[in-house]
Amino acid sequence: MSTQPEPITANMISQDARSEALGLLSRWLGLSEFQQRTLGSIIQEVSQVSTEMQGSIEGISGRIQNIATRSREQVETVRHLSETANRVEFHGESVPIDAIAASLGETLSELIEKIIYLSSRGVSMVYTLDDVFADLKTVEGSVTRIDQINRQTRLLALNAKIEAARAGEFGAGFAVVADEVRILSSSVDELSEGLKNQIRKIGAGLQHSYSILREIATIDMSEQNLEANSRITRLMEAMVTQASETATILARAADASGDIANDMSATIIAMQFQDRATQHLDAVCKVLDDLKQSQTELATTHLPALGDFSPDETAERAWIARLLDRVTLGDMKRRLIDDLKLAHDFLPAASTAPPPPTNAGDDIELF
Amino acid sequence: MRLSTEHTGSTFTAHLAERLSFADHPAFRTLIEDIARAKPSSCVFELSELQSIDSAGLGMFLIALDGAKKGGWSLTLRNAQGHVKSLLQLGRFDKLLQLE
Repeated sequence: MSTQPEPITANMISQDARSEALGLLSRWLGLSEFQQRTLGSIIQEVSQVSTEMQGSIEGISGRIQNIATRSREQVETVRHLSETANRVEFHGESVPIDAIAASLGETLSELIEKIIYLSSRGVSMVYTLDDVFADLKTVEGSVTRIDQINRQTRLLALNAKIEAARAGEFGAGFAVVADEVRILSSSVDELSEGLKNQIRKIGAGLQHSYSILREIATIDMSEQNLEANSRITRLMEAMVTQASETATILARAADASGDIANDMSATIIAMQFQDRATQHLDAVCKVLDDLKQSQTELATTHLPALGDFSPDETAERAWIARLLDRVTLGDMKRRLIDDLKLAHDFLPAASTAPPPPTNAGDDIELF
Repeated sequence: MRLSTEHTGSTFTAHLAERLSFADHPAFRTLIEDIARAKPSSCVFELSELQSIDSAGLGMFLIALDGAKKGGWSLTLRNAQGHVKSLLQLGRFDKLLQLE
Protein backbone atom coordinates (compact mmCIF):
# COMPACT_ATOMS: atom_id res chain seq x y z
CA MET A 1 0.00 0.00 0.00
CA SER A 2 1.52 3.25 -1.22
CA THR A 3 1.65 6.39 0.82
CA GLN A 4 0.89 9.91 -0.53
CA PRO A 5 3.83 12.46 -0.25
CA GLU A 6 3.19 15.14 2.26
CA PRO A 7 2.51 18.60 0.64
CA ILE A 8 5.18 21.22 1.14
CA THR A 9 4.11 24.12 3.30
CA ALA A 10 5.67 27.53 3.97
CA ASN A 11 6.82 26.33 7.40
CA MET A 12 8.73 23.50 5.80
CA ILE A 13 10.87 25.91 3.64
CA SER A 14 14.13 26.77 5.31
CA GLN A 15 15.41 30.32 5.54
CA ASP A 16 18.26 29.56 3.10
CA ALA A 17 15.87 28.20 0.51
CA ARG A 18 13.69 31.31 0.83
CA SER A 19 16.70 33.58 0.33
CA GLU A 20 17.72 31.58 -2.69
CA ALA A 21 14.19 31.76 -4.17
CA LEU A 22 14.01 35.53 -3.56
CA GLY A 23 17.44 35.95 -5.20
CA LEU A 24 16.23 33.98 -8.17
CA LEU A 25 13.05 36.07 -8.35
CA SER A 26 15.09 39.23 -8.04
CA ARG A 27 17.36 38.23 -10.95
CA TRP A 28 14.37 37.15 -13.00
CA LEU A 29 12.53 40.40 -12.36
CA GLY A 30 15.67 42.41 -13.11
CA LEU A 31 16.14 40.61 -16.36
CA SER A 32 12.41 40.79 -17.09
CA GLU A 33 12.52 44.56 -16.95
CA PHE A 34 15.32 44.64 -19.51
CA GLN A 35 13.57 41.99 -21.55
CA GLN A 36 10.39 44.12 -21.57
CA ARG A 37 12.34 47.11 -22.74
CA THR A 38 14.14 44.94 -25.29
CA LEU A 39 10.80 43.62 -26.56
CA GLY A 40 9.49 47.20 -26.78
CA SER A 41 12.60 48.16 -28.73
CA ILE A 42 12.23 45.13 -31.02
CA ILE A 43 8.54 46.00 -31.63
CA GLN A 44 9.62 49.53 -32.59
CA GLU A 45 12.34 48.16 -34.89
CA VAL A 46 9.95 45.72 -36.60
CA SER A 47 7.31 48.44 -37.04
CA GLN A 48 9.91 50.82 -38.43
CA VAL A 49 11.23 48.17 -40.84
CA SER A 50 7.65 47.36 -41.90
CA THR A 51 6.90 51.05 -42.53
CA GLU A 52 10.17 51.65 -44.40
CA MET A 53 9.66 48.49 -46.48
CA GLN A 54 6.11 49.53 -47.34
CA GLY A 55 7.26 53.01 -48.37
CA SER A 56 10.21 51.69 -50.38
CA ILE A 57 8.19 49.03 -52.16
CA GLU A 58 5.42 51.48 -52.99
CA GLY A 59 8.10 53.79 -54.41
CA ILE A 60 9.67 50.97 -56.43
CA SER A 61 6.24 49.79 -57.63
CA GLY A 62 5.41 53.32 -58.74
CA ARG A 63 8.67 53.64 -60.66
CA ILE A 64 8.23 50.23 -62.27
CA GLN A 65 4.67 51.20 -63.17
CA ASN A 66 6.07 54.33 -64.85
CA ILE A 67 8.63 52.22 -66.74
CA ALA A 68 5.87 49.81 -67.85
CA THR A 69 3.73 52.74 -69.03
CA ARG A 70 6.66 54.30 -70.91
CA SER A 71 7.49 50.90 -72.42
CA ARG A 72 3.93 50.51 -73.69
CA GLU A 73 4.08 54.03 -75.18
CA GLN A 74 7.40 53.07 -76.75
CA VAL A 75 5.80 49.93 -78.21
CA GLU A 76 3.16 52.08 -79.91
CA THR A 77 5.76 54.57 -81.19
CA VAL A 78 8.10 51.88 -82.52
CA ARG A 79 5.20 49.92 -84.06
CA HIS A 80 4.10 53.11 -85.82
CA LEU A 81 7.68 53.65 -87.04
CA SER A 82 7.83 50.03 -88.17
CA GLU A 83 4.60 50.38 -90.12
CA THR A 84 5.68 53.66 -91.74
CA ALA A 85 9.34 52.71 -92.39
CA ASN A 86 8.60 51.25 -95.82
CA ARG A 87 5.95 53.79 -96.82
CA VAL A 88 6.06 57.43 -97.91
CA GLU A 89 3.42 60.14 -97.95
CA PHE A 90 2.65 61.12 -101.53
CA HIS A 91 -0.21 63.45 -102.49
CA GLY A 92 -1.88 62.78 -99.14
CA GLU A 93 -1.66 59.00 -99.56
CA SER A 94 0.56 56.52 -97.77
CA VAL A 95 2.31 54.63 -100.55
CA PRO A 96 4.61 51.58 -100.07
CA ILE A 97 8.19 52.17 -101.28
CA ASP A 98 8.10 49.01 -103.40
CA ALA A 99 5.01 50.40 -105.16
CA ILE A 100 6.96 53.60 -105.88
CA ALA A 101 9.84 51.54 -107.27
CA ALA A 102 7.42 49.62 -109.47
CA SER A 103 5.76 52.89 -110.47
CA LEU A 104 9.14 54.38 -111.46
CA GLY A 105 9.87 51.31 -113.64
CA GLU A 106 6.38 51.65 -115.14
CA THR A 107 6.94 55.34 -115.81
CA LEU A 108 10.29 54.64 -117.47
CA SER A 109 8.71 52.00 -119.69
CA GLU A 110 5.89 54.37 -120.61
CA LEU A 111 8.46 57.05 -121.43
CA ILE A 112 10.39 54.67 -123.68
CA GLU A 113 7.15 53.52 -125.34
CA LYS A 114 6.31 57.15 -126.10
CA ILE A 115 9.83 57.81 -127.43
CA ILE A 116 9.57 54.79 -129.72
CA TYR A 117 6.11 55.84 -130.89
CA LEU A 118 7.36 59.38 -131.53
CA SER A 119 10.34 58.00 -133.45
CA SER A 120 8.07 55.78 -135.55
CA ARG A 121 5.88 58.78 -136.41
CA GLY A 122 9.04 60.73 -137.24
CA VAL A 123 10.25 58.04 -139.63
CA SER A 124 6.73 57.83 -141.16
CA MET A 125 6.88 61.58 -141.72
CA VAL A 126 10.29 61.17 -143.35
CA TYR A 127 8.78 58.58 -145.70
CA THR A 128 5.99 61.07 -146.53
CA LEU A 129 8.60 63.77 -147.17
CA ASP A 130 10.49 61.33 -149.41
CA ASP A 131 7.28 60.95 -151.41
CA VAL A 132 6.87 64.74 -151.56
CA PHE A 133 10.50 65.02 -152.69
CA ALA A 134 9.78 62.49 -155.44
CA ASP A 135 6.68 64.45 -156.52
CA LEU A 136 8.69 67.68 -156.47
CA LYS A 137 11.31 66.04 -158.68
CA THR A 138 8.50 65.17 -161.13
CA VAL A 139 7.30 68.78 -161.07
CA GLU A 140 10.88 69.97 -161.58
CA GLY A 141 11.12 67.59 -164.58
CA SER A 142 7.87 68.99 -165.97
CA VAL A 143 9.19 72.57 -165.68
CA THR A 144 12.37 71.51 -167.48
CA ARG A 145 10.21 69.98 -170.21
CA ILE A 146 8.23 73.26 -170.42
CA ASP A 147 11.55 75.11 -170.87
CA GLN A 148 12.51 72.78 -173.71
CA ILE A 149 9.11 73.26 -175.41
CA ASN A 150 9.37 77.01 -174.89
CA ARG A 151 12.81 77.09 -176.51
CA GLN A 152 11.39 75.23 -179.51
CA THR A 153 8.44 77.68 -179.58
CA ARG A 154 10.87 80.61 -179.63
CA LEU A 155 12.80 79.02 -182.48
CA LEU A 156 9.55 78.47 -184.35
CA ALA A 157 8.58 82.13 -183.82
CA LEU A 158 12.00 83.22 -185.07
CA ASN A 159 11.69 80.99 -188.17
CA ALA A 160 8.17 82.34 -188.77
CA LYS A 161 9.50 85.90 -188.55
CA ILE A 162 12.27 85.10 -191.11
CA GLU A 163 9.75 83.48 -193.44
CA ALA A 164 7.38 86.45 -193.03
CA ALA A 165 10.20 88.83 -194.00
CA ARG A 166 10.86 86.78 -197.12
CA ALA A 167 7.18 86.92 -198.08
CA GLY A 168 7.38 90.73 -197.98
CA GLU A 169 4.10 92.60 -197.86
CA PHE A 170 2.11 89.35 -197.82
CA GLY A 171 3.94 88.13 -194.73
CA ALA A 172 3.45 91.27 -192.62
CA GLY A 173 0.47 89.82 -190.69
CA PHE A 174 2.35 86.61 -190.09
CA ALA A 175 5.29 88.62 -188.68
CA VAL A 176 2.94 90.20 -186.14
CA VAL A 177 1.78 86.72 -185.02
CA ALA A 178 5.42 85.59 -184.78
CA ASP A 179 6.22 88.58 -182.51
CA GLU A 180 3.23 87.77 -180.28
CA VAL A 181 4.36 84.14 -180.03
CA ARG A 182 7.87 85.34 -179.01
CA ILE A 183 6.35 87.61 -176.38
CA LEU A 184 4.26 84.70 -175.08
CA SER A 185 7.38 82.51 -175.00
CA SER A 186 9.16 85.14 -172.90
CA SER A 187 6.23 85.14 -170.46
CA VAL A 188 6.41 81.33 -170.24
CA ASP A 189 10.16 81.69 -169.55
CA GLU A 190 9.47 84.09 -166.67
CA LEU A 191 6.77 81.77 -165.33
CA SER A 192 9.10 78.78 -165.62
CA GLU A 193 11.85 80.66 -163.81
CA GLY A 194 9.37 81.56 -161.03
CA LEU A 195 8.28 77.94 -160.74
CA LYS A 196 11.90 76.78 -160.51
CA ASN A 197 12.56 79.31 -157.75
CA GLN A 198 9.49 78.11 -155.83
CA ILE A 199 10.52 74.47 -156.30
CA ARG A 200 14.00 75.30 -154.93
CA LYS A 201 12.44 77.01 -151.90
CA ILE A 202 10.06 74.08 -151.28
CA GLY A 203 12.99 71.68 -151.66
CA ALA A 204 15.04 73.69 -149.13
CA GLY A 205 12.07 73.78 -146.72
CA LEU A 206 11.59 70.03 -147.06
CA GLN A 207 15.29 69.47 -146.49
CA HIS A 208 15.10 71.54 -143.30
CA SER A 209 12.02 69.59 -142.14
CA TYR A 210 13.87 66.38 -142.92
CA SER A 211 16.77 67.44 -140.63
CA ILE A 212 14.35 68.30 -137.83
CA LEU A 213 12.58 64.96 -138.20
CA ARG A 214 15.90 63.18 -138.06
CA GLU A 215 16.61 64.89 -134.72
CA ILE A 216 13.14 63.96 -133.44
CA ALA A 217 13.32 60.35 -134.57
CA THR A 218 16.85 59.71 -133.37
CA ILE A 219 17.08 59.65 -129.58
CA ASP A 220 20.16 58.27 -127.94
CA MET A 221 19.44 54.88 -126.47
CA SER A 222 23.01 53.90 -125.89
CA GLU A 223 24.09 51.37 -123.33
CA GLN A 224 25.25 54.21 -121.03
CA ASN A 225 21.65 55.47 -120.82
CA LEU A 226 20.37 51.97 -120.23
CA GLU A 227 23.01 51.52 -117.53
CA ALA A 228 21.69 54.69 -115.85
CA ASN A 229 18.23 53.12 -115.84
CA SER A 230 19.68 49.93 -114.45
CA ARG A 231 21.39 51.94 -111.66
CA ILE A 232 18.09 53.60 -110.77
CA THR A 233 16.40 50.19 -110.66
CA ARG A 234 19.14 48.75 -108.43
CA LEU A 235 19.01 51.85 -106.19
CA MET A 236 15.25 51.48 -105.78
CA GLU A 237 15.64 47.78 -105.03
CA ALA A 238 18.26 48.63 -102.38
CA MET A 239 15.91 51.24 -100.86
CA VAL A 240 13.05 48.72 -100.76
CA THR A 241 15.31 46.11 -99.11
CA GLN A 242 16.64 48.59 -96.57
CA ALA A 243 13.17 49.87 -95.72
CA SER A 244 12.00 46.30 -95.25
CA GLU A 245 14.98 45.49 -92.97
CA THR A 246 14.38 48.68 -90.96
CA ALA A 247 10.72 47.75 -90.53
CA THR A 248 11.73 44.26 -89.36
CA ILE A 249 14.26 45.65 -86.84
CA LEU A 250 11.71 48.16 -85.52
CA ALA A 251 9.10 45.40 -85.21
CA ARG A 252 11.61 43.39 -83.17
CA ALA A 253 12.32 46.48 -81.01
CA ALA A 254 8.55 46.92 -80.50
CA ASP A 255 8.26 43.26 -79.45
CA ALA A 256 11.20 43.70 -77.04
CA SER A 257 9.58 46.82 -75.52
CA GLY A 258 6.33 44.86 -75.20
CA ASP A 259 8.18 42.07 -73.41
CA ILE A 260 9.76 44.64 -71.05
CA ALA A 261 6.32 46.15 -70.31
CA ASN A 262 4.90 42.69 -69.61
CA ASP A 263 7.86 41.81 -67.36
CA MET A 264 7.38 45.07 -65.47
CA SER A 265 3.69 44.31 -64.96
CA ALA A 266 4.57 40.84 -63.71
CA THR A 267 7.18 42.39 -61.37
CA ILE A 268 4.57 44.77 -59.92
CA ILE A 269 2.27 41.81 -59.27
CA ALA A 270 5.14 39.84 -57.72
CA MET A 271 5.93 42.78 -55.40
CA GLN A 272 2.50 42.52 -53.80
CA PHE A 273 4.21 40.09 -51.35
CA GLN A 274 4.78 43.28 -49.38
CA ASP A 275 1.13 43.22 -48.19
CA ARG A 276 1.58 39.73 -46.76
CA ALA A 277 4.94 40.66 -45.24
CA THR A 278 3.38 43.70 -43.51
CA GLN A 279 0.55 41.55 -42.14
CA HIS A 280 3.09 39.00 -40.84
CA LEU A 281 5.19 41.72 -39.22
CA ASP A 282 2.07 43.27 -37.60
CA ALA A 283 1.19 39.83 -36.19
CA VAL A 284 4.76 39.41 -34.89
CA CYS A 285 4.55 42.84 -33.22
CA LYS A 286 1.25 41.90 -31.55
CA VAL A 287 2.70 38.61 -30.23
CA LEU A 288 5.77 40.44 -28.96
CA ASP A 289 3.53 43.07 -27.34
CA ASP A 290 1.52 40.31 -25.63
CA LEU A 291 4.76 38.79 -24.34
CA LYS A 292 5.81 42.19 -23.02
CA GLN A 293 2.44 42.76 -21.33
CA SER A 294 2.57 39.30 -19.76
CA GLN A 295 6.02 39.96 -18.38
CA THR A 296 4.93 43.34 -17.04
CA GLU A 297 1.97 41.72 -15.26
CA LEU A 298 4.18 38.96 -13.83
CA ALA A 299 6.73 41.52 -12.61
CA THR A 300 4.00 43.69 -11.05
CA THR A 301 2.52 40.66 -9.30
CA HIS A 302 5.83 39.39 -7.85
CA LEU A 303 7.66 42.61 -7.11
CA PRO A 304 6.23 43.02 -3.56
CA ALA A 305 7.62 39.59 -2.59
CA LEU A 306 11.17 40.85 -3.11
CA GLY A 307 11.25 43.15 -0.11
CA ASP A 308 14.80 44.49 0.33
CA PHE A 309 16.39 42.28 -2.28
CA SER A 310 18.34 44.26 -4.83
CA PRO A 311 18.89 42.99 -8.39
CA ASP A 312 22.03 41.14 -9.43
CA GLU A 313 23.68 43.83 -11.50
CA THR A 314 26.53 41.57 -12.59
CA ALA A 315 24.19 39.07 -14.23
CA GLU A 316 22.17 41.90 -15.82
CA ARG A 317 25.26 43.52 -17.32
CA ALA A 318 26.43 40.18 -18.68
CA TRP A 319 23.01 39.55 -20.32
CA ILE A 320 22.86 43.05 -21.80
CA ALA A 321 26.44 42.79 -23.06
CA ARG A 322 25.64 39.50 -24.85
CA LEU A 323 22.48 41.08 -26.28
CA LEU A 324 24.25 44.15 -27.58
CA ASP A 325 27.02 42.04 -29.04
CA ARG A 326 24.45 40.28 -31.22
CA VAL A 327 23.19 43.60 -32.61
CA THR A 328 25.55 44.68 -35.39
CA LEU A 329 23.61 47.62 -36.86
CA GLY A 330 24.91 50.83 -35.26
CA ASP A 331 21.58 52.74 -35.42
CA MET A 332 19.65 49.83 -33.98
CA LYS A 333 22.25 49.38 -31.25
CA ARG A 334 22.01 53.06 -30.27
CA ARG A 335 18.19 52.95 -30.19
CA LEU A 336 18.34 49.75 -28.09
CA ILE A 337 20.70 51.41 -25.58
CA ASP A 338 18.27 54.37 -25.39
CA ASP A 339 15.25 52.07 -24.91
CA LEU A 340 17.07 50.08 -22.20
CA LYS A 341 17.70 53.45 -20.49
CA LEU A 342 21.42 52.69 -20.29
CA ALA A 343 24.23 55.15 -20.12
CA HIS A 344 26.13 55.18 -23.42
CA ASP A 345 29.26 54.17 -21.50
CA PHE A 346 27.44 51.10 -20.13
CA LEU A 347 29.45 48.81 -22.39
CA PRO A 348 33.22 48.63 -22.66
CA ALA A 349 34.66 51.09 -25.17
CA ALA A 350 35.12 48.41 -27.85
CA SER A 351 31.40 47.54 -27.78
CA THR A 352 29.89 51.02 -27.48
CA ALA A 353 32.16 52.87 -29.87
CA PRO A 354 30.06 54.28 -32.71
CA PRO A 355 30.62 52.59 -36.07
CA PRO A 356 32.99 54.36 -38.46
CA PRO A 357 31.25 56.77 -40.83
CA THR A 358 30.48 55.46 -44.31
CA ASN A 359 29.66 57.20 -47.56
CA ALA A 360 26.05 56.03 -47.31
CA GLY A 361 25.68 57.55 -43.84
CA ASP A 362 24.45 55.26 -41.10
CA ASP A 363 21.22 54.20 -42.77
CA ILE A 364 22.53 51.02 -44.34
CA GLU A 365 25.39 48.85 -43.34
CA LEU A 366 26.87 46.51 -45.87
CA PHE A 367 27.84 43.04 -44.73
CA MET B 1 22.62 47.93 -141.23
CA ARG B 2 23.53 44.76 -143.08
CA LEU B 3 20.41 43.10 -144.46
CA SER B 4 19.64 39.76 -146.08
CA THR B 5 16.24 38.23 -146.76
CA GLU B 6 14.75 34.88 -147.64
CA HIS B 7 11.22 33.89 -148.57
CA THR B 8 10.37 30.27 -147.86
CA GLY B 9 6.80 29.12 -148.24
CA SER B 10 4.56 31.58 -146.43
CA THR B 11 7.34 32.93 -144.21
CA PHE B 12 9.48 35.93 -145.05
CA THR B 13 12.65 36.15 -142.98
CA ALA B 14 14.84 39.26 -142.76
CA HIS B 15 18.28 39.00 -141.11
CA LEU B 16 19.18 42.38 -139.63
CA ALA B 17 22.82 42.74 -138.54
CA GLU B 18 25.20 45.34 -137.06
CA ARG B 19 23.36 48.59 -136.26
CA LEU B 20 19.83 49.75 -137.11
CA SER B 21 19.54 53.55 -137.00
CA PHE B 22 17.87 56.51 -138.69
CA ALA B 23 20.30 56.34 -141.63
CA ASP B 24 18.81 52.95 -142.55
CA HIS B 25 15.29 54.24 -143.11
CA PRO B 26 15.43 54.07 -146.95
CA ALA B 27 16.63 50.45 -146.87
CA PHE B 28 14.02 49.60 -144.24
CA ARG B 29 11.25 51.14 -146.36
CA THR B 30 12.37 49.03 -149.29
CA LEU B 31 12.31 45.98 -147.01
CA ILE B 32 8.69 46.70 -145.97
CA GLU B 33 7.72 47.13 -149.62
CA ASP B 34 9.46 43.84 -150.51
CA ILE B 35 7.55 42.04 -147.75
CA ALA B 36 4.25 43.61 -148.90
CA ARG B 37 4.92 42.41 -152.44
CA ALA B 38 5.79 38.89 -151.24
CA LYS B 39 2.43 38.67 -149.39
CA PRO B 40 3.64 36.21 -146.69
CA SER B 41 1.41 35.03 -143.82
CA SER B 42 4.23 35.57 -141.36
CA CYS B 43 7.39 37.61 -141.22
CA VAL B 44 10.37 37.08 -138.93
CA PHE B 45 13.07 39.65 -138.16
CA GLU B 46 16.12 37.63 -137.11
CA LEU B 47 18.08 39.88 -134.73
CA SER B 48 20.82 37.61 -133.34
CA GLU B 49 23.52 39.66 -135.14
CA LEU B 50 21.97 43.06 -134.50
CA GLN B 51 24.36 44.70 -132.05
CA SER B 52 22.73 48.06 -131.45
CA ILE B 53 19.64 50.07 -132.25
CA ASP B 54 18.46 53.65 -131.70
CA SER B 55 14.97 55.01 -131.16
CA ALA B 56 14.46 55.44 -134.93
CA GLY B 57 15.34 51.75 -135.40
CA LEU B 58 12.77 50.78 -132.74
CA GLY B 59 10.29 53.16 -134.40
CA MET B 60 10.87 51.36 -137.71
CA PHE B 61 9.77 48.10 -136.05
CA LEU B 62 6.47 49.87 -135.25
CA ILE B 63 6.20 50.98 -138.91
CA ALA B 64 6.77 47.33 -139.91
CA LEU B 65 3.96 46.40 -137.49
CA ASP B 66 1.66 48.95 -139.17
CA GLY B 67 2.55 47.31 -142.50
CA ALA B 68 1.82 43.86 -141.01
CA LYS B 69 -1.63 45.00 -139.87
CA LYS B 70 -2.39 46.48 -143.30
CA GLY B 71 -0.99 43.48 -145.19
CA GLY B 72 -2.49 40.83 -142.89
CA TRP B 73 0.81 39.19 -141.93
CA SER B 74 2.20 38.48 -138.47
CA LEU B 75 5.49 39.95 -137.26
CA THR B 76 7.98 38.19 -134.98
CA LEU B 77 11.23 39.61 -133.55
CA ARG B 78 13.55 36.69 -132.84
CA ASN B 79 16.82 36.16 -130.93
CA ALA B 80 17.43 39.75 -129.83
CA GLN B 81 20.57 39.98 -127.69
CA GLY B 82 22.03 42.28 -125.01
CA HIS B 83 21.30 45.97 -125.46
CA VAL B 84 18.70 45.35 -128.22
CA LYS B 85 16.89 42.79 -126.06
CA SER B 86 16.85 45.20 -123.05
CA LEU B 87 15.35 47.98 -125.15
CA LEU B 88 12.67 45.70 -126.60
CA GLN B 89 11.75 44.70 -123.03
CA LEU B 90 11.75 48.31 -121.75
CA GLY B 91 9.65 49.38 -124.76
CA ARG B 92 7.25 46.51 -123.95
CA PHE B 93 7.25 45.20 -127.51
CA ASP B 94 5.92 41.92 -126.07
CA LYS B 95 2.53 43.64 -125.78
CA LEU B 96 2.56 44.55 -129.47
CA LEU B 97 4.02 41.58 -131.33
CA GLN B 98 5.71 38.21 -130.92
CA LEU B 99 9.09 38.25 -129.17
CA GLU B 100 11.05 35.01 -129.33
